[in-house]
Amino acid sequence: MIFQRTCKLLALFLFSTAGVNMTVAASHNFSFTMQEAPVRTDTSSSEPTPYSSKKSVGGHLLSLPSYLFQWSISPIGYAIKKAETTVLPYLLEGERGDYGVFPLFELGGDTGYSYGLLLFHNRPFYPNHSARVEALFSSSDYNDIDFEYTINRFLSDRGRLVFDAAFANRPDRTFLFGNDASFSDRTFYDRQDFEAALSYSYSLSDRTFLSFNTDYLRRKITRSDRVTEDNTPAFPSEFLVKNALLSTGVNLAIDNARGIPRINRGSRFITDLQWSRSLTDDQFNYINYSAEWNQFIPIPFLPDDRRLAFKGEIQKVESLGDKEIPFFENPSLGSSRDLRGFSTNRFRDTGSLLFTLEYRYPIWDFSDVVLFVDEGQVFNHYSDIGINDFHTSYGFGFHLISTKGFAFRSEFAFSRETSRFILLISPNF
Amino acid sequence: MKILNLYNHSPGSLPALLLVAVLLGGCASSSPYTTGAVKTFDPDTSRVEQPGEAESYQYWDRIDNTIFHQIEKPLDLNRVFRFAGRTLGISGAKQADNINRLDEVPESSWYTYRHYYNPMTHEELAAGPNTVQPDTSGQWTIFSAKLEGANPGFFAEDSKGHRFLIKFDGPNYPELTTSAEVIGTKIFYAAGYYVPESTITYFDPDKVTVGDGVMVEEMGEERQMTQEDYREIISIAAKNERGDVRALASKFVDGVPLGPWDFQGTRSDDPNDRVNHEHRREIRGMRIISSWLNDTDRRDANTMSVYTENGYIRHLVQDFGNTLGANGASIHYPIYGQAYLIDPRYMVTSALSLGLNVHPWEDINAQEYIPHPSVGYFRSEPFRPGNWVSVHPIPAFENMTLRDAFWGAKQVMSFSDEDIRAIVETGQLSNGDAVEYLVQTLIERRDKIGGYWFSKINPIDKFEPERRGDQLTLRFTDLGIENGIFNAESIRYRYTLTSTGGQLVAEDKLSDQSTFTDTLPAEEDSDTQIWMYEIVTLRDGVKAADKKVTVYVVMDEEYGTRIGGIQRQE
Repeated sequence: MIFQRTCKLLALFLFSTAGVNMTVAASHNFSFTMQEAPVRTDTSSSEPTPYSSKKSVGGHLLSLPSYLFQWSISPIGYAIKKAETTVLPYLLEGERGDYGVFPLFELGGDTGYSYGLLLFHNRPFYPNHSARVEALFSSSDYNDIDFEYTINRFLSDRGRLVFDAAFANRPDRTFLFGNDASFSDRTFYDRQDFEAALSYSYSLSDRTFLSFNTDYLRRKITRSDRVTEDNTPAFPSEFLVKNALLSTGVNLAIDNARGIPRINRGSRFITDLQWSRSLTDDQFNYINYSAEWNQFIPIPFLPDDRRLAFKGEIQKVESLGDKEIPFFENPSLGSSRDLRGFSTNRFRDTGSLLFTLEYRYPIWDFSDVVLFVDEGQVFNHYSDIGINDFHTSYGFGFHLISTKGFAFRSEFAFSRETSRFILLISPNF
Repeated sequence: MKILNLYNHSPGSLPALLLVAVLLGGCASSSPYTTGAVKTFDPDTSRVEQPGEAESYQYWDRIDNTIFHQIEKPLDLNRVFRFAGRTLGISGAKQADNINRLDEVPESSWYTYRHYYNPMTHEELAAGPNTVQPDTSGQWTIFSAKLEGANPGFFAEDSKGHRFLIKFDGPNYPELTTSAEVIGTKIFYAAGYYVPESTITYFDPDKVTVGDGVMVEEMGEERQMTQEDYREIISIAAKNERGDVRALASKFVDGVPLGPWDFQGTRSDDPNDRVNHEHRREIRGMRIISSWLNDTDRRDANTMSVYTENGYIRHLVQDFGNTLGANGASIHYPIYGQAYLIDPRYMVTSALSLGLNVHPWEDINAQEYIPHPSVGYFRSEPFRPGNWVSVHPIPAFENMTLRDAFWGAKQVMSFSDEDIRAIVETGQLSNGDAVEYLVQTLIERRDKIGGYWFSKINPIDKFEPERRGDQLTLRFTDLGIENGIFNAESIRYRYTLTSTGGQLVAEDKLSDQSTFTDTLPAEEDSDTQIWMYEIVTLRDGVKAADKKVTVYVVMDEEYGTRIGGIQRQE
């Protein structure tokens, strides 16, 4: 009993300390009624002042952690307030002009971080033209510059012409080959690309799109320093190439997926056929084709934004005649959009098969949780595909949804070998 | 039992002892009654130097209150200990700092007694704060443009020199926003707050000219506003059959605008501002009035401080365009009033339930519940008074205690059906059915507020003591019965009457009337007598009906018999 009482007194002492003292001043001028109740009231404005928020020294001490927190975030508050009067109206309130410059930052990747600029003009020369340049710089080993020029309503109100040119050098790409390749056998290479593409898209209907493209790709594959540093197997010397490829192809998409901002029903079919050959010699000559099927199904008895999303995708590359296929043109699995729990390009062969099932449900109007499982394998011949040859990856993530649709995803993916954290502004499907 | 030896401590224990001493220094208690006068006016209207204008931020207060303030709360050990104490039942909630011995708010630069305390006539309620109407017979001159915000407008001066902010309804919901502004303004005014004058006006669009030097911004460059700009602004506005444009006219307030006031802390450059805003009763209790109107966008940016000609800062509440069914130029979303814009409470339950938990607002198509475009989305059925929140957390609202809520609820309940109708009609809705819907919905939401909060605390108020000879009578009003929330036949009161000297007059005496009369013992040789009533309401089937109200009656020769203090058990 004594112990209990002591505890209660101690607690009362602490809690009363947390309180605020209130002082009531002596009154000066009196009246006898207030509203309906007989009350002596003091409506004087004379001192001393009757009401104030006072905190004891002890109260301030107990608040010290919160004071420190307030102090620590004060620069953030200053920055946001400053931004409100300068940048935010420009960005958020529809006052963005037709042209401008934005800073770009990229965190992660092989070099830790990179920085650059986005320049855009939404009506250069003509109102239906737009142009943008994105440039990211990190080191001499990692740069990425992309220029895109678009002419909307080209030849037809339903047509669009896009010219895209890009230069990139990226170190330490992973190389493995075959569905059963051991992770410990991986090796690395560096690459440097210049690519120029011209594509014309045409809307056959509101939901059917046809596009033709011609690409020029100049790629140089070199040895990676990481092979030596990590003591990994040597990169095959026959794959060290410097070549130029020309590709042309056609893409057909039928998009019956519906739902804004969340796609929650319908399907989407995408097929692609490309023919490529080397320009500098006749070493490479091949075709590359793929088919993708997306299906979206709302969960019965729940609101439509609880839905399953399914993706099935097959890719295959075939050499023409006795010509070869550059290794980097073989389909691979292991990326932010397929077999997400494995390292990049973990499985590579002349064909790949992928199934993905995602359960997407909202936790708020601007955010979804996604639970997913990926099953995939690579193969050389269709007859190699086996039910026991699938590799499994699984995980969860958070998607940010804007009023127009998908805006951003962060996902955690796992597999028997490794895991991956994904931060991207592009959807998986 | 181990006893702390203050004289033989180790050097290391000195800081701990000092801390204990400091903490003890913070302990204080005060009498629950006064034999003097009860302060009904907080003298915060002393002349002060004119402070500078505070910036109004549209995003920072939302970000701060939604994110940083939520992180900060558990770091404040005062709050943590108090929460633990409440959980253990050994400490009460942190009460407001500006309440007098009657548990009432004193009048101040923030608040004045109006409808609950001195019932206003229907004419007074309809007039609200308004002193002048815009003169529509003469020419108006635009002297500034207002292009920011949900719906654009302009500032105009009428032929009599009165200046108004002119705003319009959104194109899809004519009469919605303007009527909500006017109705919300008048309800807040009647509840005791300072608000700007607002009225619906219909003006001839040809009697408006753009003044010289009125600038607008286009493509980042300023230029003179033209008559075409004005025509574009009014092109979406509602018009009557004569072609006159319907608008909300908000009169410029007297004094010098100083920007918004915050819902937390005090203004450092105003010596009169002594009570932390999050601990002001009238601001905490505002949550109940805001819940009635679904005033979801209540935040710093929608308030105003004005330096008056008497040299002090008056605090106004403004911008009621997000009340009732309006959300600026559009309609409220079903979630508004039920959850914050970012609400971790519901986000966590959604995430953990794998989407199987469907929140009540999720499967509602607002368009199906709009009886008239001029009413928007405003319903009583999904309204849960205890769960109502504004779109963004407001520290003062978060601090609201049951006593604050009772104070707010009795303000709301003071509006009779006819009072509500008188105010709604000033919204000048052209559709009679829309008026009826709005009146009925406000009545239903009001009754939900009374039913909920009056069940949480003993809702007896308006105490009147009277002494005749040796008879002491205490009359009071049961607000639950007065407002038809509870059935009088199901209610009894149990009270104990004692003197502070310990004399017992009545113990656990039962009464089915809100009038107690008892015979006092022969007077002691004392100038002042203080009698204490402890009253419990026994109400069949209502949880927490047995909460106690303690009323102190003070009697002396000089000032007679009066109420000296009221305490309400939470």
